[in-house]
Order: sequence, then structure tokens, then C-alpha cells
Amino acid sequence: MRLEMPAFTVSDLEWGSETALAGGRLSLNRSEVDALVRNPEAFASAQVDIVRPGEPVRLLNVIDAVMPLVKVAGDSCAYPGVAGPAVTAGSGVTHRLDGVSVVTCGVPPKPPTGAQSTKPAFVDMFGDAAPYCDASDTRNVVIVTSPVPGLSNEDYDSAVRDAAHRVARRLAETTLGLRREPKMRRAPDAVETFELGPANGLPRTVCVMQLMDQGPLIRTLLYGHHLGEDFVPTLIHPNELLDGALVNANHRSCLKQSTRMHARNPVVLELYRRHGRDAALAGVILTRGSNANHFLKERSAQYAANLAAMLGAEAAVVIMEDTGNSVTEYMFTIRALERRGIRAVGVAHELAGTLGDNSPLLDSVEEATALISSGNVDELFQTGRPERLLGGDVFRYYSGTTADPHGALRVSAMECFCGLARMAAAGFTAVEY
Amino acid sequence: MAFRVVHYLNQFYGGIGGEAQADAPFTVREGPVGPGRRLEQALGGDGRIVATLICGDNAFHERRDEALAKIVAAAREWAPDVLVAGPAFASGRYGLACAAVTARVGAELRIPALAGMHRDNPGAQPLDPPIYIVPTGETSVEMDAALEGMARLARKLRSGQPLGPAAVDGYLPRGIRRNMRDKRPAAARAVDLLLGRLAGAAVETELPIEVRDRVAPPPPVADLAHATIALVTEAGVVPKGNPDGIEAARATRWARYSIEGMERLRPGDYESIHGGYDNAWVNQDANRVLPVDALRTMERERMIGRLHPEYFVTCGSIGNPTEMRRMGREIARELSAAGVTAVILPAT
Amino acid sequence: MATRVGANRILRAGRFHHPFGDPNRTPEGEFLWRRQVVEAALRALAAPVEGPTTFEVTEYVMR
Repeated sequence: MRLEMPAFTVSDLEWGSETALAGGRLSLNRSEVDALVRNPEAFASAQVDIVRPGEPVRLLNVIDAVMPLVKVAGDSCAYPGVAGPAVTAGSGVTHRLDGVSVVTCGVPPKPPTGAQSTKPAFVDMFGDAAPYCDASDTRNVVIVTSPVPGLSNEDYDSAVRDAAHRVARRLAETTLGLRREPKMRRAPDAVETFELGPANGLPRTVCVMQLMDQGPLIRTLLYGHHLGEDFVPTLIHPNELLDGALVNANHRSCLKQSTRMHARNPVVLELYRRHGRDAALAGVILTRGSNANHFLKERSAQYAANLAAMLGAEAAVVIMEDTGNSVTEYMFTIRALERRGIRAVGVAHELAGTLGDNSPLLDSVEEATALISSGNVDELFQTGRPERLLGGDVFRYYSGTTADPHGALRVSAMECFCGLARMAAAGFTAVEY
Repeated sequence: MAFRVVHYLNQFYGGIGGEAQADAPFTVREGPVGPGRRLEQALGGDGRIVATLICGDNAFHERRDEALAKIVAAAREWAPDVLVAGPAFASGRYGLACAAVTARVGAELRIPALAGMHRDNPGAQPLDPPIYIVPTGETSVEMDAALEGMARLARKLRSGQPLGPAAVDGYLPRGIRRNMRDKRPAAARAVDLLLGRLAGAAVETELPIEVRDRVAPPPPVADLAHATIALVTEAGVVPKGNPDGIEAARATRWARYSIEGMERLRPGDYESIHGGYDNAWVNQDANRVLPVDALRTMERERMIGRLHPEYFVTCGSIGNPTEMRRMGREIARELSAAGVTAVILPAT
Repeated sequence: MATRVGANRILRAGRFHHPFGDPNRTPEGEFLWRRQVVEAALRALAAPVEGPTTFEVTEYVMR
């Protein structure tokens, strides 16, 4: 499986007379974009804005951030199952726009409560919160929608996703033909080629990726369909992920990864970079957290370890979304791998309390002797004071209490869009004092 | 002007004598004594040892409170800016004394205080509130390095600058974790750690796992017919409206509610506020978590002596082990004081 | 998990949503079943153990 991925870096994003990319400047025709978003059956209102890193803007109720991809050659499409048929992706040529995201904001019609409750999250494009928020470092096309009366949560969720993918695809399409007209417009800034070539003699390594899928509005889509409560660990080629085989449909927004993060998973990319040099990337194993009981958690862990063993792996990097009881099967997975003789390294967030003096892990196993800390997600920090709000007028903490969204607030990563995963990507760690 | 240091030593390092002199009573000497001289050199003119407090290890531990009171009073007379204790190396009784002196003098005089000892010294166990301990070797062979480290930390504490991480500023971790940003993202560090392990290198985890509790099992209940049985749960089942505001996740509160005279928990009177499981079934009938109805019939049939008239509740969703341990201790104290024989803990 | 955190007497009861309940039974049947689970809990309390030990509800009443 060989995937060629020309990347076009967007360094400027603005409204213009036509939708086009030239010299790193992406201009958008407003009425064209509005038409892509418009969906009167689902949206009572829909507003599109452009925001840039460093601007004093706060986005509220952020649902997703999508990286613009378009398939140029190959059988499938980008984001298969969501933006087109569920045909195996990961081969051919996919164009990628770097430095720009399509961001959706909104509140489902009837936010569920209790165990199925959703958690809104914010993005500050500026100030000290930015490193904790996904999409704070890209130029964003922000789509804010509100549902028509009577719309179901699920229908709103899919309407928002469809709008995001229509716009993302249109943005990516501005790269088409650019290579044929190098004098007029810029060629790709980089062409990455993803192919698991020979890596004989190097340690076979897998990435075990635990995803979050807990029911309506707390979903991760694999080829357009949620994993489901009976999900059994499965195998996927890293190229499929790079082509968007995983799409976020999860409204517990601090604990998840956005669609953009799924498509550029840092561990997958790192293992790819090391492939043939330090290690041999043998594949990616997808697992699900929040299994309902001990039996299912252990079954999931055993199954993942067995897949790794069947791939001939001797090493694994184990990563997770979510927190809470999902930490248990995460730890079981590390234990199961180690017991099969597969060396496992985990990347774990800490829940050490606001002062950092609580036990950092909710659960652990003796075998988890090599963990990377992505920092204490409870530690508080001060945001800046935004001059402009998009996506809502109430700031909601993870605990459910509210605050004036115009303020400089004391928050933790638990309020930030993809806060936990973002801390890992941004290099946060916790050290002893 | 050089800052004023008061130094604590045991009878051996204080020059009184070895184990035979461990009963030596508390004394004060003006200026540095024994290792204090080299400590003062290590302070390089920034600090001056104004007095040395010396107490025999036996004398300290046999009358600990009295000794500590005398030590605090003596220290106060010398108006120190910093207190330094030890180094005690691997000596357990000396280490415990150094830790206690550091904690007490630091708190009462409100001055920076530090001790020096080996990390496995019993005195290096985490205290609440935590104290600063400079790690040293196991024996006085390592004296110079120990005193250098202690002088460095004393200067830094005295300067009032915020301390860096334990590993950077040379003290033992105090059970407090703070965030910092590494230049490299988690993914790159993870792959490096993994390759290091495969290469057989001694790699270091960034997150040491906790050793779990092992509790000696209490003996079986000998006579159920005379036993008082209590119900304690983390299921978040509370009287409707959650009068004590127990948190739906990350709880820090527990509460107790009377069930005296109740045949069963009446449907509609109770709800679960637990944010981690579907509460529908328990909201219909709270006896599905707290089996009050069943226990009442057993009480009448003399299968048990009686059902304790209150149940205890918190919420276990994303429960932090430290908080849970504290609440467990608090609830256990209540149960024990009330003469409860045994407890059933329905878990969700 | 109970084993790993060191609980010494563990009874395998109903689902974690309702450890002393079984909504699939009639109200009378559920009550009888609950009594059996509580009896099993009492048996566990009266049993000598040396470390984390899991007990089962051995005799369920029929639905």
C-alpha cells in the first residue's frame, strides 16, 4: 500500500472573489462556501467566519476540526464512508492542505445528561490556552450552526459533519491542477510518500490505539460507522488513517481527538518516520475503551495483544483517548502485551488534581513500567481575554458550572478542545516537585 | 550580609559520641560543629551557622514531643533564616529526627528548612505537608557531596526564587507533580523510550506507577445473628435532590443518610448522581444498589443482628485514589466508632 | 479491579448498574433473588480468607 501525499501549506486565509489557492494564499468565495454549508432542513442558522492564530478570538462549543484532503488518484476517497464510499483507503495520491482547518461549532438540540452527557470545549486562538487547544495553530474556516426545532441530536450531528466535509473537500480541491501550472501557482511544498517498505532486522512495532465510543454523540467513526459497544480490536494500515479512515463524531470534546488529529496521529507519523531506520512499523491496532465490564475489558486487551503477536511485533506504543474507566482496559492492554513478551510503552495523561498532589493514575498495572506522561490535565492555567466570541455565549466547565465567556478564565485541559490529546502533541509532561 | 543558619545534628556528628551516647540530652553549641564547618564552607560566605542543636537519637525518640519543643524554642532564640538538619545518610532514627525537626522548625518559625539523607531512609517517607530533603549517599563517605547539595538548596530556598523540579534543584520528590513542556512531543519520547527498552538500556518511566494497598483481611464474622451490618457505597445513591452536593465525578465528599425504621428505600425518594453508569435502573428502585428491603427481612429472621441505621455514600466516577483513600478512612472511623461488625459495599 | 485494589471479600453480583437488582425479573422474583445475593454476601463475610477472594452467588432462585 503506497500513498503519495503532496502537502500544500496555507499561510494566508481570506475572503475573496473566487475560491482559489495561489502562493500559499487561500481565498474563499463567501457565497460559494455559504451554499456548501446551507441545509435548511437541519440548520436554523449557519454562519461562516475566518479566524487566524494569534487573533483574540475564542471559539465555543467546538465540535470538530477537519483537515482538508482530496483524493487525486486511487480507488477510494478521503474520509471514506463519510465523504464518499467506504472503499479501502490509503493508496494512490491524496492532496493535503496544511495550516488550515474546517472547524464546526454548535450545541446538539437536546444535550444528553448523566452517563451519556456531552462536554463542550473551547478553542482560544491566542494566549496561554492556545497550546492546549486543537486547531489553535491553524487558520480556520469556522462554521457555527444551530439546529431547526425538533431535529434529533443524531441528525444534527451528521448534518454538521456533512457541512464540514463539504467545505473541507472544496478547500482541498483548490490544489487540483496546481502541479500542471507551476508558473501560475505554487507546486506542493512537500510530497510525503507513505509506504511500509522493507525494514528487515529492525524491531517490528505496532501502534495500539484505544478509541472512544460510548453511545450516541460519543462516537468515533471507522469508515463512516461507529465502532459500537461490541467492538473487538481490529487491524488497520497506517495509510488508511492518513487518508481519514477515522472520523470524530464525539461531543465529549476535551477527551477525544478531532478528525484532523486522527488523520495526523503523532505516534503513527513518528513510527512511520522511524520505519526502516530504527524500527519496522507492522501496523495499527484499533481498540475501544469504556467496555462495560471486566470481562469485556480483559477480552479487548487479550485480543489486541494477540493481534500484535500475530503481526510478529516485539514492541508497541499504546495510546488512548478518554479517561475514567477506559484507563482500566488501557492498562490491561499494556499488561497483555507485556505478558506476550511484547515491550509496551504507554502515553498516559495524569489526573493529579489542581495542585498536582493526588495520585496521577486512576488505574495501573505492575507491567506499566515505561510510561510517557502527557501532563496533569487537572492543572489550572489562565486564559487570555478574548475580543471576539464565536459559537456561543456561555462558557461551560467540565463540571457543568458556567462562566462569562468574555473573561480571562482559570481553566484546565478538561475544558479545551481535544485538550488531553493536544497536551501530548504539544510536549506537555509532569515532573516531580 | 550572610544569612543565619541553625544546624541540627545527632550525638555522633555533634561530637558527643557514638551509640553509647545515644541518650545524650539536647544541647546547643554556638557556631558550627563537625560537618557544620564544611557546610559553612560550602555556603561560601552566603550563609553562616550561628548555632548547632544536638540531640541523642534515643533521647529524641523516647521523648519526641518534649525534644521537639526544646529544639523549636532553642532555634527561635537564634533567629535563623534557614534550618538545616543532618545529613543523616541511611541512619533511620537520625533520619526520622531530622525530618521531624525540619518539618516542625520550618512550620513554627516560618523559615525555609531542609534535611539531608539517603532516599531509602525511613525519614524520607513523604510527609504532609511535604518537606525538602536533599538525597545523599548511604554513608558519611559521601559527606562532601551531601553538604554541597544541602548548601546549594539552602541558598536557593533562602533566595526566595521558586524552586525548579526535584531532579533539577536536587531534592527528593515530594509527591507534587507540575506540568512543564518538553521540546519533544509525547510521540517522539514514546518511540525513544521503546527503542531504549528494546536495546536493553535502563530506561526511566516518566510516570512511576503506584504500589497498590494490601490490607490484611479482617477475621470472618463469627456470629452473624448478633452482628451489626452497614451499607457503604460509591454508587452515588442519594436522597432526591442530592442534599449534600456529592459530585457526579471526581468526588471529594461523602454523606450519611438515615434508613432507620425504613422497610425499604421508597421508589421516588432516591436517585443516583453517579456520572459513570446508566442510572435508570437504580432511579427506579434504589434497593437494587442498597438492599435495604432484603436486609430488613433478614433482621426480623435473626439472620443478622441489625442493619446499621445509616448508610454511607460517595461517588466513585473517575475517583481519585488519594481522595477515595481519605474518604474511606473517614467512613471507616465512623463505622468503627459506631460498633459496626461488618460492611457490605455495593459497587457500580 | 476489586482484586487488584486489594479488596479481600468480593462477591460477583448483578451488573454494575444494579449489583443487587435484576430488572428482568418480576418484582417478587427480583426481591427473592436480591435476598439470595445478600445471603451470599453474608456467607462471604463469615468465610476465612487470606487475600482477595471472589465469591459467587451459588443458588439462584428460578425466574
